[in-house]
Amino acid sequence: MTRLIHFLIVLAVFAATAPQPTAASEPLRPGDILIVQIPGETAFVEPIQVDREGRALLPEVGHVAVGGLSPDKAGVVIRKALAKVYRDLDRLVVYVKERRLAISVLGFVKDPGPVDLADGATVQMALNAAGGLAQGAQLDRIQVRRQGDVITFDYKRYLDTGDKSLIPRLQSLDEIFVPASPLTGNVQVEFDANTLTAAGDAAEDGKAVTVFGEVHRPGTFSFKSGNTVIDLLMRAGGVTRYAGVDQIRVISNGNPVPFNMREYLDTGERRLLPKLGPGDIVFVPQASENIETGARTVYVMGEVFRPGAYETREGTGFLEIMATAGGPTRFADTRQIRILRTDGSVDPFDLQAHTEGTENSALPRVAAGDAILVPEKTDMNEKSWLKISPDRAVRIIGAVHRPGRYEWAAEMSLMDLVAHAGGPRAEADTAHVQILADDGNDRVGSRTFNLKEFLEHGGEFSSLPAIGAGDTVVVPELPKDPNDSRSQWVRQPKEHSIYVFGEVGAPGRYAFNEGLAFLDILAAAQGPTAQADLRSVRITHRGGSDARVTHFDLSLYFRTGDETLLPRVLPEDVIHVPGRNPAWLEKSKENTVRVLGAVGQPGRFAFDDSMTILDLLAEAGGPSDSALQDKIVVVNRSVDGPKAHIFDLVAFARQGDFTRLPVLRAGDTVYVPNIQQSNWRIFSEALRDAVSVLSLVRLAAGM
Amino acid sequence: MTSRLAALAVAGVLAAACAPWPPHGQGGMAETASAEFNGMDGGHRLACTRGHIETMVHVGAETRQPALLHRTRLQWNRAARALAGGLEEDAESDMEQLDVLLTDLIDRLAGRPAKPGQSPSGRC
Repeated sequence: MTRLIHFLIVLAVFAATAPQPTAASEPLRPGDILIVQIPGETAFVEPIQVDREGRALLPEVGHVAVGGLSPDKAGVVIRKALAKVYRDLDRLVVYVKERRLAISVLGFVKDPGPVDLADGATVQMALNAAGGLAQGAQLDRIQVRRQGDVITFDYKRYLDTGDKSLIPRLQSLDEIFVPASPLTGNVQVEFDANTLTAAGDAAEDGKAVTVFGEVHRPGTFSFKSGNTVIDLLMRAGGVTRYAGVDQIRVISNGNPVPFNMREYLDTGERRLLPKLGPGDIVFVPQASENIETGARTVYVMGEVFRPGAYETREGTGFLEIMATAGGPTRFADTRQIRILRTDGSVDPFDLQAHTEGTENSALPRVAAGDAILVPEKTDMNEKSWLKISPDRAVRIIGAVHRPGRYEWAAEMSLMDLVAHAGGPRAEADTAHVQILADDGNDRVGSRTFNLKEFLEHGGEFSSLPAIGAGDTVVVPELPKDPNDSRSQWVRQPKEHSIYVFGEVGAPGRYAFNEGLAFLDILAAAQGPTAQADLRSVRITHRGGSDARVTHFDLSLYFRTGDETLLPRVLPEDVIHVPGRNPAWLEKSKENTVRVLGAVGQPGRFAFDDSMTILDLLAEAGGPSDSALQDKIVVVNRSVDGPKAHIFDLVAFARQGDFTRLPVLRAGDTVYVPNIQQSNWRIFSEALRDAVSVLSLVRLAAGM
Repeated sequence: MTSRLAALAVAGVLAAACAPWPPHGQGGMAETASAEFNGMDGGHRLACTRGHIETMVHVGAETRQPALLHRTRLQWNRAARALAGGLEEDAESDMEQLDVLLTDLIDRLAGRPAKPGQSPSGRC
């Protein structure tokens, strides 16, 4: 045993001290460069390289085998060969100038073939000398073939690590073979690097993981132990913006396993990662195929540049979400933003007011699951009325041409507002313009202004009612026609109404104000009818504490045109236009003359002091055939008692003496006796009676 | 006897036939004959009032106060008729009212406010 130990020690020492072949003494290899010099011979100026067969090409001599010989021995061989041609070889010098490697590079390189490399060159240098790797080369399986042996090495790993031990040391006459990737297929086509890498890097399908769907570079990737789905996705270029990251499918060992990457990224829990092995498949579906229902999703809809579902984190604010969605478009109605809560409630938010600082409300809190709706502006051609906040606007409604809501400035007046609204319409009741304003006690007070009077008569500007922002001006409307007045009577307060009854075209209740006059309302009621008795129009004045009725002779107004005749009427008054043939009770005895007796139409007739008894008799149809025309009796209703006179119509007709017309006044009575009541008739009848009596007496006496 | 009876019968007939009729009336159109008032009580006053009315016509009453002028004229007619018709009491009352109307007319034409309480008497 001890001997054995000593033997081993001696052997080790021997091995350590044994002479190592130096570079200068190493046998010549193909590619080495020799210097062969014979002074005076110009043919030996150029260096001579050992070819791949180990031969050196000498001038005048030809090939001489020197491969495998030491430099000294090669010198001997060369001298011996040259001696056949050259006599004086005393000063022949042979030495190795440079040791080189003659390598062949084949396979997926750009310029395959023999390459001449300096001594000590590596595989990488050889590949570069061959023009570099061609696209589609399989880097982890490059081969070095040496004297029948094949050395396969992982060039990629060398590139990753820089570890030279991973690649074989080259020897002259080595053959480097770069295989093609299986992905290149069996058909020769042009590849580009992106295509090749996009298709994955797996050399063997059975050991690869296929990643496809919404990733940037779907392909088959070689699986390495410990790789996770995340690693594979990253090698595939990551997911696209359309990827449904919470619905990734992994086919592991033939079993589909869902993978919610979002949840994993949120929580970091490794248990959520599915086990991955060679041959598995990872599919990333499109997000649009499913509705986003993530636990941290907020939805932004409507007029934003990028509506959609957005992920939020704890503390993400409204503005961040809006900014992420690109912000509101120019069509957005930013005053009407709505936030639809998950519990079904809806919160409005006025972004414009918030940005202007006019609203003190905080930004709305947006929680996961909420939806932000940015509606579209209703009218994009006009400036939105919402641009003007209530404390800067004034409203005008009613009978103006453009009622609406207008921006207000304190220096403006009611006239400015009415003018801006296009002025009052024809049917506007400008005498009762109402102004609703905050009275300072959170109540809206109403006051009325007679704009009509101001327009007609003018006045101080200070007499115009003060209008402030936030106020409302109402211009009421007069009924357009009598039918309207009926349908709208409920809208019309009685203090603005007047009543017209009797013989007018459209009796009823009419809108009226103090700026209107009797003829206005009579015309509105379509005027008196043909049956109207214009001489006795009556107006009941209801406004005062005492009952008062005005009688008005409208016919006199028509005859004379005297405006002073027109009665002043006020709202709530009642106008009555009686008919010509009223019930007899309605005719007072003071205003009529009674005509009795033998006339065509006895009765009571209106009479005034422009008429005479002749007019009256004519109106009463004239004396009848049985009238006692020379004894027409007139009874005057005098202040000192009734006084009777007779009128001899027959004598008047004969003589035409107008002085014989009796006085006749309203309240008097005219009686036309019957001819039976004449003196002569009475006398003749009495005479006849007397003769008859006398005859009877004589007969009695004769008997 | 017979003659006596006949005389009695005629007397009875005459008595029956001679029923009393009122006197004839006049003045029913007195405004057309102003001469009737000459010498009458109140005739002068009536003529004076007529003159005032015509003066008012000349200063434009027909265009400026036509209705009041009309009423004044009617009242004048009424007063004239009453006077000419023997209704003296009524004529007096009518002329009082006529003075009121005339005063009103004059005031209105002069641009003065009407004074209802003013006594119209003494104008004529």
